[in-house]
Amino acid sequence: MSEQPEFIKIQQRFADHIKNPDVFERPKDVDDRHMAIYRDLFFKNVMGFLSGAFPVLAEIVGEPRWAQIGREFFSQHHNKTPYFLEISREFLHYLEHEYSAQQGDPDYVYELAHYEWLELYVDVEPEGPATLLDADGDLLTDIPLLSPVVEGYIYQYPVHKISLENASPKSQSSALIVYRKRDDSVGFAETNTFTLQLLVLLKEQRLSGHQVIINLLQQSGLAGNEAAYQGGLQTLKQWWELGIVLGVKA
Amino acid sequence: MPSYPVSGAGLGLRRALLGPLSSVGPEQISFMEVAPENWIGVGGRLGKEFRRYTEQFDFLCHGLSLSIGSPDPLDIKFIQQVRDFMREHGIKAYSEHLSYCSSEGHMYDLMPIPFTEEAVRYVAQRIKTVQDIIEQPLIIENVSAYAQPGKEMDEIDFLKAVIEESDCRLLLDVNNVFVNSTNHGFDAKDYLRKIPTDRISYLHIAGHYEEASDLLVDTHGASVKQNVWDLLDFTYQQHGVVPTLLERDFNIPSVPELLSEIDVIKRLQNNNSGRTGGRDVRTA
Repeated sequence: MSEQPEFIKIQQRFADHIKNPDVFERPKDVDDRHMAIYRDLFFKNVMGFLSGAFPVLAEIVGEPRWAQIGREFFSQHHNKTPYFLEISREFLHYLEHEYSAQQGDPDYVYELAHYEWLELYVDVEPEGPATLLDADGDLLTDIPLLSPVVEGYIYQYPVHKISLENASPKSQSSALIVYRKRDDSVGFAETNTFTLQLLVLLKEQRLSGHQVIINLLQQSGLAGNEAAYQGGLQTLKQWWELGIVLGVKA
Repeated sequence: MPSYPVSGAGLGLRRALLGPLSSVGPEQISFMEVAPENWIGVGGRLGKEFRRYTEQFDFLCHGLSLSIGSPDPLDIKFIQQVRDFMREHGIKAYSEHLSYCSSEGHMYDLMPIPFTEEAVRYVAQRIKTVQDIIEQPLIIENVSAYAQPGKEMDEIDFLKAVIEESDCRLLLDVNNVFVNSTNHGFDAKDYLRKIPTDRISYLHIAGHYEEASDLLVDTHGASVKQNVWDLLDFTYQQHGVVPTLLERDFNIPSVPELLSEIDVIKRLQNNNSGRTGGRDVRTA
């Protein structure tokens, strides 16, 4: 590798010190009072992004642990995205692959962060190309159309119920749907692993509501079970009311 | 006559202003500016609101993540996305900071490039690469700085050399000139006199925070100080009436208060109308 120009080395030293002042000394020709302006501006900025995106997690782990996690993220994680709203996704990546839990950190740190990120994602993710919609069509005979942004996940903790007042919930499998409502606000729905499969099949936008339910029942060894069929139908209707299902393909 | 991408008095559009500014029109705010990093890839309710603004107002992009002086390579894909975003929304020009904001990854705020000859060549080369992709001149902005590591020449000479060598345009931030003149002890008017008039595309004006009498921080969180208004007036006297944008990113006041600051810009522009600039000694 060719030798870096001197000014590049100065820039790297400057940046290294801002990221991790405990390890890297400031450039010799900058006094501490001036360097402190940069250290504070940068760290407050990053913490502002993190606390804005993960308010529940920040509150639960509490200062100073939240600041410590933020410092580790800022100093160790190689942030690839130039986009500010995607810093939260970088932080998720950090939590999944780089973060090391300390005693006292809840087991659900990553899951809670993922759920908080999901709300942001559903709020801002661009819609794909529009499909012609019949909002009052027959959900059984036609192909149901979903909200333009809808995601379902199974968490090992009831992340939707975690708060400062409920910070130590028991592990409990929780199937949650987060989606963009008809008025563009973010909707949340609790479901179960069975009906989450319904969402997966509906996303394919290939089969009528009737066929989707029949397929799901077959997959689950419930073929011919009339009560289960009615249950699937109820879910479809309920999802239409909630705006998870918008109508049918016109 | 100089030609500018926009005209009049503008305002930086923040997400927090989408609601409050909904009943304001182009007769009150001549043009707007957004950070592409906050809007590329944003759909849903925010994307729809944003489109209502770009359909109504003249827009400029004022970027934050280009990192033109960075040790890290240029993000070519990102620059192409900015170009496509500008085309999609009819955005007229792209300005960025003469600084860097990444070193082995993004850091999301601005650091000072050492003022050296080597850095001039490095930055100018990268600006040319950007200009080739966006197929128009890049507009670079003088930034506020609280330190000058590795400095081998004056800021004004560094700025002028980069502009000359890359053949780019200038976004002259009058508040940043004031902040740096205080922080680094130079004469602000002398700096402004040396700016090549024919390179200026538009101006920025903003408030700052006084950390100490000899240390100002460019927070965009306060109203514009009188001595900065005076410098804006001086800039118009030197360089003619140039489109000027108010930046306000934190502690955002009411819309009437923002509009009253924009009216100050308009008043100073009217007072100086008829001036076409060119009083400086142009670079040969």
